[in-house]
Amino acid sequence: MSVTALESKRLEAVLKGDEEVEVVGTGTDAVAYALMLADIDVTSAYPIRPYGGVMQTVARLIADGYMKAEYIVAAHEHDQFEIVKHASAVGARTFVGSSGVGWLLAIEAIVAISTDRYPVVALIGNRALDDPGAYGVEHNDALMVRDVGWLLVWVDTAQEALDTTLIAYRVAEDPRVMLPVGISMDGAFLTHSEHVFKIPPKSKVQKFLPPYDLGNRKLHPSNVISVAPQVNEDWVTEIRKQMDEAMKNARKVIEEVYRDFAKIFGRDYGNPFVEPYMVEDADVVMVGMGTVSKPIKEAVRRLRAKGEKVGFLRIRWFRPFPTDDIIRYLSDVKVVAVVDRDYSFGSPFDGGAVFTEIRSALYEAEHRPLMMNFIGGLGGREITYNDAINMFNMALDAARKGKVEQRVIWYGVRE
Amino acid sequence: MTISIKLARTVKDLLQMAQTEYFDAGHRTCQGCESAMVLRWVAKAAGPNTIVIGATGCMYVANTTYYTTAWALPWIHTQLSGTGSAVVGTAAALKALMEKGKLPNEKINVIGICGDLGCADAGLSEVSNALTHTKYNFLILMYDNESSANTDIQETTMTPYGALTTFSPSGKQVRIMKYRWKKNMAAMMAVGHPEVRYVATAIASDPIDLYNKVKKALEIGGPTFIHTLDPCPKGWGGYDPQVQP
Repeated sequence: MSVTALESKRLEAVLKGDEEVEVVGTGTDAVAYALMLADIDVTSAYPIRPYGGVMQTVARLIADGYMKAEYIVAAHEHDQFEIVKHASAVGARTFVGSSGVGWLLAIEAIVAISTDRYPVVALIGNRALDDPGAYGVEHNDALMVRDVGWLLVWVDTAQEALDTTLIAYRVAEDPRVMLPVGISMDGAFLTHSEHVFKIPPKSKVQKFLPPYDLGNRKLHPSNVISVAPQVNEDWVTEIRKQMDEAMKNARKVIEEVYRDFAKIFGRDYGNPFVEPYMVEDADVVMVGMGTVSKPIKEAVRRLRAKGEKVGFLRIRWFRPFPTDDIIRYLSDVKVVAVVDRDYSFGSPFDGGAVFTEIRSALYEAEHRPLMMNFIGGLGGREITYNDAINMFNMALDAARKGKVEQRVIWYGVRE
Repeated sequence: MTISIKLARTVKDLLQMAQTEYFDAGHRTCQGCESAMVLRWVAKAAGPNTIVIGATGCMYVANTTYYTTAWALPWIHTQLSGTGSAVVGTAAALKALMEKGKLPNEKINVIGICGDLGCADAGLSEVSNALTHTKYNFLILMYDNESSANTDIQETTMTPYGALTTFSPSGKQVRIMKYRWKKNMAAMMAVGHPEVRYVATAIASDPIDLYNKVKKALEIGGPTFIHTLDPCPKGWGGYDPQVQP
């Protein structure tokens, strides 16, 4: 239960030294180490898989004195999110998280966090929604908040999870943004699998991440303000418009923050919004979010070795949506095949959420590619290398014929 | 445990001790609204070093209209069921920030205000969880007007047996629609939470008692709870303020 001797030695090194330290840990461990480095003040926990591991690691780090924060075990997820909202209102840096139905139980508080403009950072260990019960990954939990002012980012390695947590605080707390960030991590595939990653030294994190400053919005007896009074039709439109501006500002801020991150930590993510993989001159590009990148990238490498012009585009930031990058990377290819680990019943063409948004972005493009949609990997079902090859073959076939026969395919569904 | 605070003994004491209004003009409640009277005395007893959290309810909607708020204290809204969570989050943040030297170390009262619907019904689990968090100092105040007074007077579990509300009218076939008995919140809070530090009931018509109880709760610290009874006559079935008895 407690921090091991080896882990202790490494944590001492990053807390006191100037060098990064390589460790082995799960995706949720990586986030917990980032929270230690970001010196969060308040966090609230409630058990649900697969996000819960992060709170267990945070608890160990607090119990053994590696980080200092108020650790509050909540009554349920709504309680959990309401707790951090109010901690954030008095000037505390906060962390919270959940998965699947837990995230949905909290949704009223989740919306109030963004509409009150508190830069809470949350981990969403993506999980299928009930009923029926399933532990495995599905992205519909996080996507439920795509319209209400949360910045949403998907990571695909433990290293990216750690780095993105630090980046998330910097972006969220920027006065031009002041919106919460939800970091999505595929349940089991990333939350629970062990990775090698590097923990940066605290000295560098302090250079990168300034203290949280709410300015004149901080609730304190020395600053007598009223937060979220009844405004009704008089002001709601203006307040929503401010959120719209903040979300648009976030695009610029995200770019700045990634540049700064590369400068200070020496790890350069290139384009912050999307990760293009062998998309140059590609005829067919698959698009996806999260760990589905692993089998697809492997399929791209093997198909490229055989001379097939294929590529992959991983979407990192879904909110704000990377419209320009989608147009830049996808408008000139012959076929775009989107893998959705989600569903959006009754949507245009009955496709997934990511497919629909990409299709909408490409409407403005000079050239519009053919589009296919694979809905799959639901409830934690694995999308394997062979699946990725099959999907590419279907898309390549459409590229050769210049025609998509079936636009939305529920991949691997048993009928 | 002995507490050394100055309590009011007489009306004269009260008028001397509580001259400044922190719940002032600007609200839109009826003349003589008991819940508003409760808030006025609570605010007086708490004084300026206080953060107030108000859950959705009639005392949110009526008192905090933008530009005309009645609160002369820092105030924030929380969701209908959020009072227990909000006081814990606020008190925990103050503790963390003061211990880390990010805020000056001083006593700041944290008061969460919820109606009977937000406290005894929707927010019961949050309030209950809050009352177990002995590390933090806060007062949860349930102003019990015995109905959901903000939304056209519907029954809550705190509405008395047999009462007429818009959800429990009396009809030709069913004489009593509110067939449930009122919960005993103060007893439930006191008995069910072994480390709750102070539980009281009060009423605005005895302001000396109400004032003293708020003072005591805030002085004792830890999780504390006060239930005030302030029925909303506007909601009583057939009540017509123009008709004098």
